[in-house]
Amino acid sequence: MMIVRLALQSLLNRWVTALLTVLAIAMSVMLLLGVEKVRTGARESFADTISGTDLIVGARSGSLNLLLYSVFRIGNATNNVTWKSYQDIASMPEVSWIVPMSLGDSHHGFRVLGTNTDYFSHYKFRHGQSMTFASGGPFKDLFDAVIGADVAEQLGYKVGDKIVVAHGVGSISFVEHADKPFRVSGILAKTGTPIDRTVHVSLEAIEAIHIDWQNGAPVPGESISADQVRQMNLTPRAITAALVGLKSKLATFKVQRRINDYQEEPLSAIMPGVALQELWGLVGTAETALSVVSAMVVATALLGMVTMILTTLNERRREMAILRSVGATPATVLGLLAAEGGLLTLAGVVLGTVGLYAGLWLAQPYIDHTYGLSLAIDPPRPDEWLKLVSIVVAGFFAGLLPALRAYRLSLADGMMVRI
Amino acid sequence: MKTKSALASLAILVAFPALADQAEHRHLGPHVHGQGTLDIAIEGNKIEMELVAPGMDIVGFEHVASTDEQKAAVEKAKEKLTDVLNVFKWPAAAKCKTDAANVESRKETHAPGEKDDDDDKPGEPQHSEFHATYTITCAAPENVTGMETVYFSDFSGGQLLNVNVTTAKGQTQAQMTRDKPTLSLAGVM
Repeated sequence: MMIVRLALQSLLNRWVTALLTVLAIAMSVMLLLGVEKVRTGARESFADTISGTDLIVGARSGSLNLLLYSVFRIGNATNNVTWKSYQDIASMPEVSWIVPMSLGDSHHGFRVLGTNTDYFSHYKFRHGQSMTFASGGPFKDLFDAVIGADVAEQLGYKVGDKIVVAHGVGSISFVEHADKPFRVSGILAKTGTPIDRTVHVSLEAIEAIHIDWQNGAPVPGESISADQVRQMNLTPRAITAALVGLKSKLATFKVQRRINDYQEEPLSAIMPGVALQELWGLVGTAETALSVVSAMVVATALLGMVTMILTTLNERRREMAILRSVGATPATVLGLLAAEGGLLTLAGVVLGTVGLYAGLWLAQPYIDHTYGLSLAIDPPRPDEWLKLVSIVVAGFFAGLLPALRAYRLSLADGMMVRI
Repeated sequence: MKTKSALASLAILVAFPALADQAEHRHLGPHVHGQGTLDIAIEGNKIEMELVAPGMDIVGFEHVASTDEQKAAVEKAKEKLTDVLNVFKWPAAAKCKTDAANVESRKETHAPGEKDDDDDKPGEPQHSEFHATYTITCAAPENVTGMETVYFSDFSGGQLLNVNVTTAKGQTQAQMTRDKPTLSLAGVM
């Protein structure tokens, strides 16, 4: 106990350097824990991009491909799904609801999704949260569009504005559906998912804007006006994918197999949660890299502490000599410096942990709103406690390094101190 | 041009109806030795499980069991797999019991001349697999937090089980291996 008190007093005497060291360690601990929080938060937000949907159905392809284009709007479908197959799946007795999705057009680089109003009630994200409208409402008219939060913000749209959809998915397009503009009927609240970057229109509208087109281009002299098109049959011939909800989770695998074995058309049914896990497994290497970097930052901070103690050691020869002269054994000197290392690290770890939680508490709403990343404010998990304890232990042992030096010096200095 | 070729292919199909027939029903799932699939669906107090594993993993061969020894091995494996709660062990606190267990070794009963769901020829080297479905009821489903398996010590050919899980709370995927024969359901239960 005496040793700890002496170490504390000695540190107080050099409080500026000591404080800086503690701060360096605190920052590194914050980083270590913070990276962990961001990592788990990102993982959970990612896995919750879509929830409540039991199966996603598309043309036969890999599960990741289907997930990427249907949920993340990345890449394209290998094929379309015929409307007949869609209806067959919809009429399966286990199916509770089904939402069609039709992709392929864009608006200033944002994907246009053709769907129906069920999409807004059945597509869930983040622990079963539903989409909400920041303003306006779902589409009522044939040429109504509902836009995501990012689309509205980046293009400065508000409810009532007219927009023109472009054919294809490039950010600059030369072929536009200019004859049939849409009216923004609603703007969705920020979700932190790809919904934010999507323009939603009705499936019939997708059919309507392509009705006078052939082979991906308008037919000259054969344009059908927006009013004429309203009188026509707008049942889609094909869709890109469909979200399926089942009456019972127990039927998931059975229905999945039946769709995968569907004889009339090669289809794939994937479980979005499973595919998301697979996808995360691919990008998971970056997680490890993050952890390694933060571990290295902690090591650097500890090294800094050792350097600090070592450099001050020279100035403290006198202190050591006095201690020795009043009867402190070399072992006491050793203990004193090791305790100093331990104390500094402990203070750093405590400060870092407290700082992290304070920071989380302050920044969480902002991060959630701006990046759609929900960071959980929960107490450190067992493995995190282990990390914290091992940092303190490492600090104690790092303190031994200068301590051993002082131990050897104090023997010599005790004999021939000349000041 | 398009119509012509469509007409031509239609003519071919009319001329050779067998072609159309075959073209429709060719489908074969993946088959990787050492790897099985375990699907688990949990809702309320019911657990439905389905195991598909290559014959190689379970009994060490994939042809039709011909010798008495091989037939006995298949029977023994089926018996073991039928006792599902001793292969896939749910926590005792969950108080689970088996409602139904059905284990079959596909192709095993495949007699020469008999038509079955795959396109192999009887007696030829082929891939067979074990297919098991289970219905389990747990009296205390809140204690279903994970699962342990002795599948890998029971069946020496098995290296990996790809586990797909769906529950009321979400879906997840995990792998159970010889080194880590456990499954955690944290996050979806």
